[in-house]
Amino acid sequence: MIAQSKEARLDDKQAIAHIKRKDMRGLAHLVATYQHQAWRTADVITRDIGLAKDIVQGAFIKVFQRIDQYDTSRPFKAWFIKIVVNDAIKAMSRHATISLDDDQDKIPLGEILPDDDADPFLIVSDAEDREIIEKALDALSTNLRAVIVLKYFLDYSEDEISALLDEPRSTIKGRLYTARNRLRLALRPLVEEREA
Amino acid sequence: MSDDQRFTQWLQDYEAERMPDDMNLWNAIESQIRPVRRTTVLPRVGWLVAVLMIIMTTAGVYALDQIINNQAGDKGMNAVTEQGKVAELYITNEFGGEFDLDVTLQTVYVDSNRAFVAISAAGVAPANAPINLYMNPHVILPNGDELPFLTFGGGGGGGGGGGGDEEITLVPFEVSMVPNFDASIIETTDAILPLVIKVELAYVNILDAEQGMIFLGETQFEVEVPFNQGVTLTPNQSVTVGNNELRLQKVVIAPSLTRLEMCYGEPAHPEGNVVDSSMPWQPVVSLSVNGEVVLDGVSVYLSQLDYNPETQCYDYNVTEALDSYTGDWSLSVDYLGYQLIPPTDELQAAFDAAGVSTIALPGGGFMIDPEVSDETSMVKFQEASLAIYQQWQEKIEGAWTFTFTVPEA
Repeated sequence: MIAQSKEARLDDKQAIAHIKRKDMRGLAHLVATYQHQAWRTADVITRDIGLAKDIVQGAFIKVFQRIDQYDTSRPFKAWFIKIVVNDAIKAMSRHATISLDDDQDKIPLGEILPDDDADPFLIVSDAEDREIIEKALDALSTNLRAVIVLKYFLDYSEDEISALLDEPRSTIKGRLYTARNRLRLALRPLVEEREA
Repeated sequence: MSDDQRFTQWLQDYEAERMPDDMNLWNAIESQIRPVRRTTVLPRVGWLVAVLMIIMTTAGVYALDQIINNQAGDKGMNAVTEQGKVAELYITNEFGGEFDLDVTLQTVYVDSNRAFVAISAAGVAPANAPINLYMNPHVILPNGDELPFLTFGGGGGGGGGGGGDEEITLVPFEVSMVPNFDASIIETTDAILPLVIKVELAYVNILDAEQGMIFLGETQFEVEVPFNQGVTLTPNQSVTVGNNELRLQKVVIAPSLTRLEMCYGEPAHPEGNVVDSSMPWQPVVSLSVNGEVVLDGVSVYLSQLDYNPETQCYDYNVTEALDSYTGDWSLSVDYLGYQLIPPTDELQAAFDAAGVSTIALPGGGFMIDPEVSDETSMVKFQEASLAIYQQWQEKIEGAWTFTFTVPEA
């Protein structure tokens, strides 16, 4: 009998090695490590906590079934988040509830920008009216929410977002610009109230 | 603080409030990876479940034989058990450690298609620190090769030990499992097969899941067991129905399981609420031997390891004992099915309509009322589940019929 008495936690590489042997322990580790970040990411994009849950569950199952497609020289998290974000965007494209399409994202900035010195995020940080912020997020298209969550929630650079979404950097830059300005527009009533 | 920092902070706070850290997807993910007979392959047992079992069973130990005998869905496993082909070993290794574990290798069975082992572990854990204990068994051949897991069939479950006295701080528990392994890599004509069964042990603190899974160690058994040789046939027949050509390349008939190697260009996946878009089409087969119906519309199971993308060949597994059927086989793929995932609200409505009590969950979704566990309710639940999943299944009708002869042994 071999009876070792060691305690050890898996790291991502060990977990992936387990998954390649179809050992569920590896997946259990990855779920414990990434489920909340992934779920919250999908939730921001879909604005539907149940759908986000389904997407993240499906993404983990894909990891288990397609682990051979994962390039082990690259960080697991980036590969996994790419699956989650792309699946969330795809799922939303199947829903007819998107309030604004991509064309509407291209409203000329001069029409919507509030004063530069008005800072909507100061109001956000007070958390006094999250409902307004929720509406602001709801008013963004899926693609804009995707760049927002990648930039502000997951702290990805524009280059990383570009690679993750397979879109040119200029497109990502434009979406981020538009998304920020849309949020400013949505928050303008609060800004004006504060200024008054 | 910059705008970006403020917005990052807000998003994190907002999502943390919307989705608490104690929400856990693991059980749902695990059950989807083992979707077909997940309840019969249970490599872990929740401590809380074990405690419930203590209340229900004064004996306190859940006999593994009972578990095996309750595997009505795995007829091949049942057949070889009834035929006395399963080696009864009951070897106990004293593992010790913080949970004072004993690990017992109860039974082992191996044929040309699959192996299964029955393993249990018993120990004690603090009553105020419940755990999930995980066993991860490995079956290792004399040449060092390891049998891969099969993700269908098998048996398992778990049970509780004694306890119940509030003065006692350590409560005994017992867990057990009967995992399946793919034995198709075994190349031997010997009647006896030496094996090493290695069991890794790990646990999760239920009250502190953030710790993740903690590895305890491993124990191993060296055994010699009978090897049940199968029959291999190579019909290599192609049949075309509509635009779909199926080729039955190879058939391996072993006592506990028959394996069909079928090759086809998989049809496009249907649109719909598909959570896992990589799920393949699922053949449903029938079998007549010498004109007698043996199988009628049974699902065959695809091991996740058994698809070769280059040859487009799948190994499908029929968990039936077909080794006694010799003569003229007529094997038919009646249709290819594809399971879509019903929307949650429709699923809940179907359960409600069938009289199955459900509880809505915060944030969406629902669960079956755990208070309702009588036999009538379970039957209702199974019937309602079957009905709605059939309603949400796409089909490509066949039939693709292959005929060949299985000789007497």
